[in-house]
Amino acid sequence: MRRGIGWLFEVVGSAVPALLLAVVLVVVTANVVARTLLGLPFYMAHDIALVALAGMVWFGAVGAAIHGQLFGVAWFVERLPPRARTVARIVAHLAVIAIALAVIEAARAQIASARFTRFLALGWPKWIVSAGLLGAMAALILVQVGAIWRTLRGSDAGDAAP
Amino acid sequence: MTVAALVFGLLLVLGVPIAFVLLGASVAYFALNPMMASVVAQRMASSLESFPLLAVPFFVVAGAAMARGGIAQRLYDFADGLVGHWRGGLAQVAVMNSLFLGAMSGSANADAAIDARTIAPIMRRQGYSNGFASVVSAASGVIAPIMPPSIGLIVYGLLTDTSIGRLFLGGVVPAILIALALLATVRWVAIRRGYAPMRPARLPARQIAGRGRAALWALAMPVLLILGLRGGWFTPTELGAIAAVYAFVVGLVIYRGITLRDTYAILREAAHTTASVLFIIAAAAVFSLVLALEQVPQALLAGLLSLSDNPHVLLMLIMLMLLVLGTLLEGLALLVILSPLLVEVTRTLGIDPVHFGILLVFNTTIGSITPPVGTVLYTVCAITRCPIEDFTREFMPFLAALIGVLVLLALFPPLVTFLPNLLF
Repeated sequence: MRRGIGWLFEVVGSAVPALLLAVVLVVVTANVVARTLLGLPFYMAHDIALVALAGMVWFGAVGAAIHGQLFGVAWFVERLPPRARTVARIVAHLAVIAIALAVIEAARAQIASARFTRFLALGWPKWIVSAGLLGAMAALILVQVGAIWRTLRGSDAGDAAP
Repeated sequence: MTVAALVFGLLLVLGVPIAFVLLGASVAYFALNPMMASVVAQRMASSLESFPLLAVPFFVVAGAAMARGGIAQRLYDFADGLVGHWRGGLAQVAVMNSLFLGAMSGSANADAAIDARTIAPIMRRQGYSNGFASVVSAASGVIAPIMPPSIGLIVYGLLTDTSIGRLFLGGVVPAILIALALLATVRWVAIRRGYAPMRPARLPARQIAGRGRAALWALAMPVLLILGLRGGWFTPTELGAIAAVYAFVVGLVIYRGITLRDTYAILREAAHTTASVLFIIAAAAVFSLVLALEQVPQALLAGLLSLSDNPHVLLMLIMLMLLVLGTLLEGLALLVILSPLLVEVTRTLGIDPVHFGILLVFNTTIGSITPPVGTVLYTVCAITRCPIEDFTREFMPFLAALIGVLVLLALFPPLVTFLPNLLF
């Protein structure tokens, strides 16, 4: 079960953003080569790159949270006595969950209302970027719940910041 | 606004990630001042709809491929050949290496982390204090965001509509000045503490040239970058893509430091690093809206102009304010929030936006290593397990040197603007 969840987080937080980054890199490089050497730019490259970039940032943030790369100011909390430090860390995780829920609600409203704006060359609806944000925030909430669980069990090694 | 400020402070003290501090304060503001329900998601999504931002992941991939592909080792060997015989040789090599690495990674965090993992442990084994080794790793990381390609300069250029090509060229002389100031500071400390050179005499010129040749593919990259920009072959963003492919091909085919199997690890590392940077930018876009709604830019502009109408005095006041804010806020967040506001002030005063951009990025990067709040400081201290107090004590001469260069650049704009004016 735990290995299954770990695998799922690896896919969502690492494999998906890595793949999207590869897409961005290949598409932009191909466009440069096509335009500079062949004189044949393909305009969809711009839209594909921007959609993939947004996806990479949203899901990459999940991976960054899992690996403790979302930076916060640990200085104040580290000066607290052990019990108060644990409480502060749990409160911080709960705050992140509450903020992520607010972002999910905003993304849901954006998806519901933005029916007409589209990426010009691709023709895809623009709300897919907010849909990605919604999915990533949901995954981030699960990461925070896992971090709270580990903090309560006393096995938090500092990952899944804060 | 008061509630948003209180939430901001509370979340910051609790250690909540900076991006969520900015989002939390914004969410609190919009809870009390309702707008469209979608405003937070809308601002976050639209902030990433920017083609120049793509340069950030590209240069991060280039840096990761260079670090793993054997380029970093060859640059270290070359730096060692150049300055290893100076007093405090290993620390001098760390600074020189950062100048070369900075021309590839563009990120203070990435550069400082490489030094903290590779050079700092060797420094400790050779008798340097852990605090000094940590400070040298962190302080030399300041060069990377000034030396092109620079993530900070790309972000500034994007937010203020300033030419990224001109900003890149404007960073070359300041980066070299920072490196010289750090080399001098290392020498000063090394003489006082008796830190020895790595070897008694300079390496024979032929041997140094040999190491230079071995690192030629790496050293050629910034030159190709500037030529490509100047020649108009690529935009800075496309140049990032070319740089990433170049670094990958050199590591794979020429230096053979990486294999195709390493591709996933490089992309994964680059995706995490990029996401942690751009997620802050997306969150700061929401917070900037709060500041705009509260007319903070106008208040700031009026407040600063009421203090003096002398550009030099105001520039110094802005630099001082940024240094103070940099001790409390994360450098990138500060850059994203304040760039558009301050550029309005400086444009009114006739200050060149390229000149101001270099000063702003340099200043906020200094902020990222000054206690108590700084991402580079935390990155390095987490790796070297250095107490913040030890770091702070050892940091003072380096802080003085960095501020000295900052003042020099503020007082003599041609040090920044000469090169872009010459080539653009």
